[in-house]
Amino acid sequence: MATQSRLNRQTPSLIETLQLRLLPEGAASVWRYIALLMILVLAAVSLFPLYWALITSFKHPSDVATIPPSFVLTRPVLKNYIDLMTGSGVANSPVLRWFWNSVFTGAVFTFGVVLVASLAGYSFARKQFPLRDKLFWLIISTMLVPAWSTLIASYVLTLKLGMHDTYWALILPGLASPFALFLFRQFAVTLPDELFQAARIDGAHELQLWYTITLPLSRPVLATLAIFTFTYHWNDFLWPLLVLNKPNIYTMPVGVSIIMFQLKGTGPAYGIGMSAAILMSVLPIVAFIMMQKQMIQGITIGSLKG
Amino acid sequence: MFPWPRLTVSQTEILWGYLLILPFMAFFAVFFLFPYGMVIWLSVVDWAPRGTTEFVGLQNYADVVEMDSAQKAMFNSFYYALMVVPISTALSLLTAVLIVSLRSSQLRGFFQAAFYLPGVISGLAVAIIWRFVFDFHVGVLNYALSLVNLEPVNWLGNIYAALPSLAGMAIVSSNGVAIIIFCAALLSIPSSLYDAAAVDGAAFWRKHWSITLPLLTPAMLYVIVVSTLGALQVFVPIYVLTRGGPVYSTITVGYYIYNQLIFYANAGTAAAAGLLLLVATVGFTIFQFRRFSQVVEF
Repeated sequence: MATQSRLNRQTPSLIETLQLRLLPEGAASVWRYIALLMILVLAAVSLFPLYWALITSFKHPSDVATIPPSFVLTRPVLKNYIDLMTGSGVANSPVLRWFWNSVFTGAVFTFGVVLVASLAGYSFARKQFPLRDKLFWLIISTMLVPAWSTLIASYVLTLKLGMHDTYWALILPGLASPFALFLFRQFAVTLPDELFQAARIDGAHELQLWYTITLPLSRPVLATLAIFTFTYHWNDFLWPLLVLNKPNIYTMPVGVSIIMFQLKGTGPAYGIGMSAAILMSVLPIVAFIMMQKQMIQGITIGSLKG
Repeated sequence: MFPWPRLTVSQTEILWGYLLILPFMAFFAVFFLFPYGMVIWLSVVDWAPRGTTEFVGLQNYADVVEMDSAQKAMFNSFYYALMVVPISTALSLLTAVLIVSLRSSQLRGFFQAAFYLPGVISGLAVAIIWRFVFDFHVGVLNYALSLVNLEPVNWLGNIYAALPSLAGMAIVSSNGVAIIIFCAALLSIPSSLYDAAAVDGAAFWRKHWSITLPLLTPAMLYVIVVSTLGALQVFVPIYVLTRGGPVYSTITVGYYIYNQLIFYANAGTAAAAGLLLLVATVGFTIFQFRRFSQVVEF
């Protein structure tokens, strides 16, 4: 967070000095053009697949797989999206249902994660109790363990609890999110102590301190956290793939992956595939564009303060 | 750092502290801590969803170590990580330097966003898109090769090309986070250090070797550790693009575990393989920390 505010507050002259230091002296202006050119090429390479998927998804199925490929959209149609939505060509693919499953469980999951993490984060940041720091670091250290090592156990556990093929399997196992706890705690630590003391003198009890002081002050963090969490859940593929086996309960990614393997013939299949990829990407992209600054802050918090 | 000596802290404070973390800790205990114990148990039994579960000692580990597909999977995972991590870290650093050296702050923000954007969409969507890009007949990569009169490459169907193709995809499409971290780290270097170096008459490369690189080390360590972790666990591209083939050439530990669990219903072997991956990863992470702590002492 400190880094980001420094980024914004930095006076132009300071940045300029730094830039001049990064580039070889004397040749600064030539270097600037070379740098700009390189960065444009890199950005084009990085964004090309997304662009390619976007225009392909709006092509008519017969124009999807042509040699040579056409890199501009001449006659946009929604045919691929309609085929995807109506499950044309693939039996038993209730795409709208999958969409709803993803949105609904994502919303519940996000609410749960933020609630639980903000309670615990507040406590870890502002309360004094034995074992506090040890517990905190125990939780944080699980972030460095490969998910695969405990995934099998989680699979067997949720199977035994009868959670497979239910919404519970998508909501409960990830509810205690170490990342969310870390992010919220790092923020709650920075709140001024005077506020809490004043409220305490006024007779507020702990839940009120959390609800009336901590939460309102941490709205930006809560929003970031909610977006991160929802996007994570929305994009998650491996876990739902493991625990969901009935077409009606699939999330969007699981359903789409099943469609992709059942489609025959590369041409039309790619059209539907690209429209599925774009449909899955719209939400995360819109969320990112809306919350750009906060999300970038969230990323740097983990790396520079941890 | 516990508040033991200061006994002014009241009992209620402690009680509230525990109460507030209770919901988190309950879920954490059931779904994070308990599985650690359970996976160790699973790795020493022959687990059956129905019927009897028998204790088999270290048999599962022996199975994993002897199995061709498992050996190949371990080798491929590290080979993949060794291709992806150094190249994408270097590329991210270069991109970050280029972004920071841009004059207008709007442009800097724009490019940061442009590079981060492909990272917010799901790995599944990325993999589906690349399946089209890699396609032998109608993919744009082979079309590009045909423009310069080169033979088309069977990117995903050739045992030598498949894993490097997947690595290439990862290198192009997953740099956003690293770039943002490097940008932040570069901008946090105090420019007074460079001024001091200039007074000492340090040359351009000398300055970067002794100032920029050492000060970027923490960010670099973070990026390398996190991306190594990610690369060693790669699954989604394998699942969507190659299913481990052709002939095990792209099977990774993640895909091997998935296969054992879902197709062979071998939770025991899957658990053993997961624990072996854990040991290998932790070892690798410690190795990286050691290497870097040597470099940091400047």
